[in-house]
Amino acid sequence: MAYRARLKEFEDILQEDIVQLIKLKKLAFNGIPDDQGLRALCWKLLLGYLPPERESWQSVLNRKRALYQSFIDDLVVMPGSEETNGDCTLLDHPLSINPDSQWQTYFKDNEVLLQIDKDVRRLCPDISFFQQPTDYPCNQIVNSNDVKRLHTRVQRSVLKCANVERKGLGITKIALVLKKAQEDYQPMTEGQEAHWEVVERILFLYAKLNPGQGYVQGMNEIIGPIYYTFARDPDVAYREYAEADCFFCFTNLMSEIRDFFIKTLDSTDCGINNMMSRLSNQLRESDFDIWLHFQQLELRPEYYGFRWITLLLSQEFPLPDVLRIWDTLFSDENRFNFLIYICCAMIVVLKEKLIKGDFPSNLKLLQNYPPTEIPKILPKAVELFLQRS
Amino acid sequence: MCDLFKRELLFKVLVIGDFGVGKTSIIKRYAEGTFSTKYKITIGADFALKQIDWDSETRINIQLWDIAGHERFGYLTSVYYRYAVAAAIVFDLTRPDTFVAVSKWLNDLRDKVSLPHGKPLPVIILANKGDVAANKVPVQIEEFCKKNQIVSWYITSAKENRNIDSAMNRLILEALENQRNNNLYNSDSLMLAEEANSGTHNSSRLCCSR
Repeated sequence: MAYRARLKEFEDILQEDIVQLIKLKKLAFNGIPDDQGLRALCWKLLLGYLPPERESWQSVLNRKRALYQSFIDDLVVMPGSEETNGDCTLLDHPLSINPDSQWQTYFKDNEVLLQIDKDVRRLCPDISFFQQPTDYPCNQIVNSNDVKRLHTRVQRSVLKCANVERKGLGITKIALVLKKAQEDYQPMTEGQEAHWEVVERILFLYAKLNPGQGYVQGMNEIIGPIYYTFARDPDVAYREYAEADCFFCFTNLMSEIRDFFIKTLDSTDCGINNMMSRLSNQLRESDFDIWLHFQQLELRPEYYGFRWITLLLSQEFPLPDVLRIWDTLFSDENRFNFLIYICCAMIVVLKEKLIKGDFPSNLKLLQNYPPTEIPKILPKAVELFLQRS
Repeated sequence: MCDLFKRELLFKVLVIGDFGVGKTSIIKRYAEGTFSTKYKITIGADFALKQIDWDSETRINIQLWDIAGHERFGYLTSVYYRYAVAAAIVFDLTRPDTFVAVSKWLNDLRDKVSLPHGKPLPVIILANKGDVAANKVPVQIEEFCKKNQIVSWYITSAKENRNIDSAMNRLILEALENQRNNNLYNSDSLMLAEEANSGTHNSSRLCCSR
């Protein structure tokens, strides 16, 4: 009954002509029900992709989705595919040194793509979701005879050599030995596309459209849970556009946490160093004994907190727990202030073990967070938040 | 004087190199004896432990630090390198660029960390993914090692468990030597003479015991 009542509360808020974000945040802070695509819808609101005015939702969605389609049209191009007849001396070619050469850009892009490709194939390896085909592939790409598939651009092809043996009477035996590393994240056949390929495209477009920052490792871990949530939306009308919607929500989220990903901003107020020292200060305030013990061990937040904060904890817990924690993080009035309290709570609930542990055992524990302690984290974080001076 | 080695030693060993060359796989293989193609990407640094009974008198606790390969994490490396006594630089035989990056990693390492008396850290190079491309060894590697005082280089395969133990043993041996020399250096002059004698004695025994 309580669950039903909770569902109703969400529905009531979301059915208002103007969704009251303050109310929504208050409610979502304690977790969004997994049912009915509520999480996907709430995240779109919390991340500022959908405006509070319900009546404008459809027009916003139409506009954004069309815009995303134009990004694909303009940016996922294969040089040479649009050549027209005319003066062939003006034609672009792979060895062109013209800075405007499409081929030049193409080769530069491929360096970024190589990294994205490696990383998306390492996305959430403990679940099979990203290796499965999507119901909504991008048709112009999957039916392009592999030409526009991004991963084919960075596929490593090597020249092969074979031993040729000649055995009397002109019988030639060619011994061709092919060795290929086995791939778990197999590309799909023509007409199909795996979820990781979709994520690869979103990240590639993001990198192209944000050249100042480009792609940084870890962004794949940020986009993963958002895409997962949208691509599993039971509402088909939304699910079909998971890719476009995810792109914009990811872009909005990155605009808030991008400073964690930019090296030159490490020491600014919003940079990662500042967040790590806030974590350390909060720990001192919340539990002086552990803080002191860590000081004596020289167990610095760089060793565990860096990943926690940069990835918004997405690598620390199983995906369902990550989704639950992100409900809270996205509902934080003062984003991402509450993250510090969660990180601090993660340490405090392990006090018994940590206080007795030496450097290696403590670091191992913090880097491989015990799943049994997860339910205690959020209540403890709230407690620490309320105790703050 | 046997007491000199009747103890536990702690060595912090760094594993560095470009992204995706297999650092995590090498460490998992070495520390846990397992291999998977399903490791998540490393953000910041990961940490693993391995304990080996080097000989009847020496137990070594090795802290392995798996340092993220993306350049975004570059500034953090000085924090992660601290107190290290040895390093393995890994590259991927199937990606020639990653061998070019070895010298970048080596410079970063030499700039930021050295042994207590200013000596450079012993370094080995691991040419990984030898199961796929053992015939793609860069021709310059031998010369590179000579020029840069690299202890040794190995073709490894985390997947097929090739050469990883022997490479790491070689590195540990170097670290042990340095540790011993360092101990002699630190003792007061009276002890110095005394231990120098036993030192040579012990070191020869150490080699035999392998």
